[in-house]
Amino acid sequence: MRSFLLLLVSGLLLILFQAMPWNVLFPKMGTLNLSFAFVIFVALYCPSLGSWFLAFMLGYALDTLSGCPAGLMTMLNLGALFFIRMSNRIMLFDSLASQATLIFCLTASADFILLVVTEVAANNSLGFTVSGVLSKSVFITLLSIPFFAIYNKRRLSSED
Amino acid sequence: MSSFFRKYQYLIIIAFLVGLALTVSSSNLKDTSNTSFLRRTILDMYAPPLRAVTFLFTGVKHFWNDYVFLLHVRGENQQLRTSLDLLTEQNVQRKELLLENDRLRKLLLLKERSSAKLISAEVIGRDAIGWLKTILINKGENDNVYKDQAVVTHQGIVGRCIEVADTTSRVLLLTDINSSVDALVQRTRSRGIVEGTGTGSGMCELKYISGTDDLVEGDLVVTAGLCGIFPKGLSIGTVRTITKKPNELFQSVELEPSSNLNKLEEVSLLLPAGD
Repeated sequence: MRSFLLLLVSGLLLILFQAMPWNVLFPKMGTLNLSFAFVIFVALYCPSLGSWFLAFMLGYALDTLSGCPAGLMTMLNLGALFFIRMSNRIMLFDSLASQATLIFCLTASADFILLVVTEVAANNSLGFTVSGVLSKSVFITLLSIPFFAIYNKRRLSSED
Repeated sequence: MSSFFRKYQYLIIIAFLVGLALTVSSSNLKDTSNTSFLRRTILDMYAPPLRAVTFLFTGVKHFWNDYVFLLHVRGENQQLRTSLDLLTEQNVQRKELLLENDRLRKLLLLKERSSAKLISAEVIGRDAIGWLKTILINKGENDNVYKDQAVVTHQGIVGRCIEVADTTSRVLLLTDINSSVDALVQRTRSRGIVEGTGTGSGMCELKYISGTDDLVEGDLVVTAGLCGIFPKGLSIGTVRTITKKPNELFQSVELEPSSNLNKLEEVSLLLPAGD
């Protein structure tokens, strides 16, 4: 319960960071959806039932603090969690390379779905859509790698 | 029964959460007139920390700009004084024109336009995802803010309120893909609709301008006052690029908004005349 609350508060603070300080610090960059990477982290390292509730609550909070259609981010979070849980039966995302690839693919897919549903993709060129999505996914992946690396190391050392 | 639940508890709970997300999504599609209680609670819950963070960051920014980053201040000061003198002179001339306009209107027995009252608000947050162009402001229902209320700055229009909680509101910016404002080109009086493009360039598109209309770069576009949200005559933006294709009915016009929507700190909400 304590770890669930800690993760929930961390996720909500991350959303708070996305909503304001990020735009002040990096105004030209555009907001990155770091909370989605956080949901992927939870999906990989916290296989309990609470991770589903966490994904739902973070998705709902993000839906409320953004202009996207209600329920969309919640569905994307739950979808990502479902995909990772199903994929874990076939392959384990143990290495940093596999985790980085997973983050990149899932964030790009989520952004594409968001752009299609909100009709931003329909009203802009394919080049803009693809370049925007891929560049944001690259940044999110690069920012997530150090955290995953540290957590992998701590997990290995605790197992030893 | 309990053994069934224990056996399939994961699937049941996951199905419940997915169903709840779909219900939330469909209920929002059915009724968009009011913000739901849960969304209002979350918006109001995030308002105090967002205000605190905004206060901290803008304080640091002002300290840096006002006390530390004082390069080229003297030269800039001189330039600004010269511009001010020129603008003062132009202002005097415009006041004369305004007085003349008022007299002529009285002569024609036209209804006098009452000046709208304003509510000032501070921007406390931006869209948490980034692809969509919305901002959060620190005024809500408790401050007489309502849905579809016009939001402006002294430079021009910003957008309209799309979601209102008790102490916070969400504003849809002019540059968002879902935004559309009826517009008028001030010089030629051509009518069109300004729509957001949703790109990071911060530009808008003026649509349905006939290919025969004579627009030039620098033309000012103002609100036409037909949609009931924005009164007539508020500045929307300036024409930047015009693309005319020979076989097309309408020309494609790109517009730069008058207000700098990427650096909004304070905005004003228009109260209807008579409030």
